[in-house]
Amino acid sequence: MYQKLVLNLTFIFIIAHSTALKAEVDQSHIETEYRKFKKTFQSILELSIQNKQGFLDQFSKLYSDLINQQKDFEKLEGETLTPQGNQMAFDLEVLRPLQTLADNKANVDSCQEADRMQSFNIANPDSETNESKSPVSKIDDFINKAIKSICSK
Amino acid sequence: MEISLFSKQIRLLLIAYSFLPTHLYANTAPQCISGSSKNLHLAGQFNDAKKNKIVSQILQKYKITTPQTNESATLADCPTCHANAENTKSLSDMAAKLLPQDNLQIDPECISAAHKIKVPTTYLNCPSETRKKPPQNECMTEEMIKYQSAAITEALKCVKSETQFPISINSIFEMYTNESGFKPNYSSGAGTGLGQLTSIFVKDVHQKGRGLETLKKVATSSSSHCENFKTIAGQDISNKPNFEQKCKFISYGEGFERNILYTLIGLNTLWSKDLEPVMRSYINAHKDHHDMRSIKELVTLNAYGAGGPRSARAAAQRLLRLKPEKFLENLTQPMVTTEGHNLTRYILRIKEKQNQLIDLFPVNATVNFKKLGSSACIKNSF
Repeated sequence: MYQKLVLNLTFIFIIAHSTALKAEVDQSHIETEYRKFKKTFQSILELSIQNKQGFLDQFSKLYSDLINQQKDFEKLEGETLTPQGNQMAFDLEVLRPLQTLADNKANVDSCQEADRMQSFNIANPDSETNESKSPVSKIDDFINKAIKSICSK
Repeated sequence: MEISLFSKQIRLLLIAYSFLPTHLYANTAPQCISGSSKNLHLAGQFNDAKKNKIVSQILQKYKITTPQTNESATLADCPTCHANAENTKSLSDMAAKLLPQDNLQIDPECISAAHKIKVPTTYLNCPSETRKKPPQNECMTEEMIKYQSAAITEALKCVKSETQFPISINSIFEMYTNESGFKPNYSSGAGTGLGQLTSIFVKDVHQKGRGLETLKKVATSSSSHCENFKTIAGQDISNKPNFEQKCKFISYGEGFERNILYTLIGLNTLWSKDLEPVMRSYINAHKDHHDMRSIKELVTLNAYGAGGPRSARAAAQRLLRLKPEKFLENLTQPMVTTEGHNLTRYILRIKEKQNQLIDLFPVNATVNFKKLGSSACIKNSF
């Protein structure tokens, strides 16, 4: 009887320990995947906007990398909604004006649409986080410059 | 002796009173449901606007008051016309009884309570466009509050008759409560009027491939609910209103009504152009689910607030993998990002304002807001 109890307790301990270990592994996976996404995101912001076609081609490639990285990340997340996953979804939306340009080879209509989207984004600041100093305002500056540079040529 | 002197004075007073122009004493000070009777600018502007065709027709359609028209003022100067006028009046009364009348959808008691919400920035006097600093407690009469309810009801019915508008009237009530507390002349730096419209939002309503399609539908609508709004839509298509002239989005008679119309068209654009494409397959997969209507409403409202369409789309995109009940549950919770954004901030802010509203109802209120929330404010929902 006593032996059976010890056996059961040992079994429960092993299960609990392995679950905690899995959560730690998942958390570290989540951080790794998020950093990977952010690295790709950052490389978009470092693209040169001097060459219109070159920029659009490189952007398209990196943007599809971001989409795939987000998909992999969400598989890791399961039904949990992590702040990292929320940030990734937001980052993809921030880049959407440029994606519109890239998908349509920066034709007149897509230039208008990208400009409209970006105007909407800037007109709706997140006042609680003091948008003028937040990272997203610097990204918005980059996107503004990219739209102006690409669409003026 | 003293009595006769006193009665002589009274007689003189009465004679003097009889020589006063009637409008100086016939119209007693308006009864303010909320705000101060010392602050009558908005009430005065509304009174003047009752001569306007749009205002008078909405007042009449919703049986709020007999409209004060230029025609009736002329009749007052023409005693021989009175008999005809009486006949016409009784005919129009008969017609009003025979024709179906529209009911106010938002309980005026709720608008009155929402009007008590304090808003921090400036107000505009129209037509002068002079700014006033807070505290401002503009007098709102029962008639004005009922008119606001009627104009919103009418505009919503109009836009719904022409589009797949996703938002119900109780959510519209919640949104206007949050935006301006139903103060039509509230104008912050960026936002203007009842719906706190921004220049980019107004531009979006006029943009081809965005809101212009709906504006044109309203302008050519055959729906009786669009009768008044098609005038505004039609003239705005040919001559786009200048957003710098704020009273064009504030004044009763056209501006206030334009503000409502543009809010609704803009919301419809956000839904149909920005959000529905993200959610299309999810909606098809769960079209019979009882939470779908609330999901569509909240997702669209989320795009209206600070954070705009990109936060709303990001939030929706994140929740698509969940079942509708979980989607809805998470949409009403903070969805914070690692860089400090909250993707559902506007929805939460609306809920906070609704909580503030509970304490602003009078003790003897007939509306059970505390128990039922904004749905207690809706009558004869359509």
